[in-house]
Amino acid sequence: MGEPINIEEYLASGQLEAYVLGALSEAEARDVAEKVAAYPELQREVAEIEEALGKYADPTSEPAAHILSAALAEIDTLDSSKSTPVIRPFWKYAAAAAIVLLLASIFLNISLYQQMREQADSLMVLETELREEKERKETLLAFYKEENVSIWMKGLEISPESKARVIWNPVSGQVFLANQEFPMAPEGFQYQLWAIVDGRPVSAGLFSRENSSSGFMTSIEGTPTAFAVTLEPEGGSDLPTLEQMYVYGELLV
Amino acid sequence: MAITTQIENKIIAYLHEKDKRAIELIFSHYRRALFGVIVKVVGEEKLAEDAFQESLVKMWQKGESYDPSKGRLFTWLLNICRNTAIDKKRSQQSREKKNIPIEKSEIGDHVAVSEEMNINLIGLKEVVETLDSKYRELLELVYFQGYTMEEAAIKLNVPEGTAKTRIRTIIRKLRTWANQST
Repeated sequence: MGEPINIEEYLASGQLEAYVLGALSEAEARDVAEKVAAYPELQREVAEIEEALGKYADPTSEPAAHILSAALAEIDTLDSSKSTPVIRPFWKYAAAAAIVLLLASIFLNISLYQQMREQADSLMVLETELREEKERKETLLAFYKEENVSIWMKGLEISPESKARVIWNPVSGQVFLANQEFPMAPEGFQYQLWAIVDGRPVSAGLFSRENSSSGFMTSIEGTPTAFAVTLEPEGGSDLPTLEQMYVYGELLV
Repeated sequence: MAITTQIENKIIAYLHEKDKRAIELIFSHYRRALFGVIVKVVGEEKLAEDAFQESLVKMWQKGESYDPSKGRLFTWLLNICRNTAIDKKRSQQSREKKNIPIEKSEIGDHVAVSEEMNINLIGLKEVVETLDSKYRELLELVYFQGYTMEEAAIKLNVPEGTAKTRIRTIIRKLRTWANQST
C-alpha cells in the first residue's frame, strides 16, 4: 500500500526512534508500523533501538522480584476464572437476613397459635360459666314463681342476733336459704340446716358463712313443721347438736 | 538479552488471552528499562515499586487491547508505565503539597530539578552528561514525560524535524554505549 521510501533518509529522520519512544500521533504510528512490517531494514533498526533502550537502565535500578509476585497475586484476585466462587457479601447477608426473618416468623406463628389456643380455652370456660349462671337464674326465677312457704328462723341463746329465712316449696321440696346472718363459723366447723319432719330432724344441707349469699339447699321430702340451723363439725352430722342450735323457726300454719 | 520476535509474539499472544504468563515474560525481558523510566519519573524507590506493580497489573488488564498495528509492544508497555508513574507522582505531590511541578506546561522547571536529582537513576551517567542540555531536555520531555514530538517541538521552540533528528542522535549514542558495555 505504501509508496516506496528512501530507507537511508527514513532511518536518518529519527522517525523510528520517535515511534519506539511512543512520541508519534496514532496516525503517524500506524503509518510507521506499516512501513516497518514492509521493510526488513526498518525492522532491524527498530530492534536495535529497543535493545538500546532496554539497556538504558542502571543495573541498580533492578526491580525486586517481589514486585512481580505481588502483581501476579493481584491478577489472581482479579481473574474471575481462577478465583474460587465466593458468595458475595451481599448475598451472604441477604441469606442470613432471610433466615433470621424466617425464624422470627416461625416463632411469631407458634406464639400466636398458642395465644389463640389459650384464648379459645378461656372462651370455652367463660361459655360454661355463663351457661351455668343462666341455669341458676332460671331455676331461681321458676322457684320464685311457685307458691312457696317462707319461714323465718330467729336467733337462740347462743347467738341471739343470728337469723335466716327458709323458702320451702311444698311441691318440689326445694329448700332455699336466704337473708342469712351468722357469725363466722370457727375453724373446722360448718352450719347445717335441719328440717323437722314428723318430729324428726332431716338435714337440708350444709353451708359456711362464706357462702352467705342465698342459695339452694338440699331438697326434702315430706312436710316440715320447723327449720333450724346448728353448728356442726365440718362435713356435717347425722343428727343435730342441739346445744349448738343457732336459729329456729316454725311454720305458721 | 535480545528480545526476539518469537518472544515478543508469545507475549502478545498471552496478552491477548489474558494469560498472566505474559506478565512474567514482560518482567523477565523488559523490567530494567520499564522500571528505570518509572524510577526516573517518580524519583523514589518505594513509590516506583508500587507504580511498577500497578503497571504490571494494568498490562494484564488491558492486554486484549494491544494492537500491534498501532505500535511496538515495548512502546505500549512504556506508555503504561510512564502514565502510571506520572499519576503516582502527581498524587504524591498533591498529598505532600510540594512545589515540584510535573505539569507539561512547567516542564522547564521540572527538567532543571531532574538535572539535580538522580542522574544516576538513569544509569548511563557518561552518556547523559555528554549530551547537550537541549538534548537532555528533549529526552526528558519525550521519554519520561510522554510528550509527542509535535508537543516537544512546540515546547522547545524547534521544528519537529529537528526534534526528531535530535532524538535519533541521543539514541544512537545510547546504542554506542550499550554496544560498548556488552
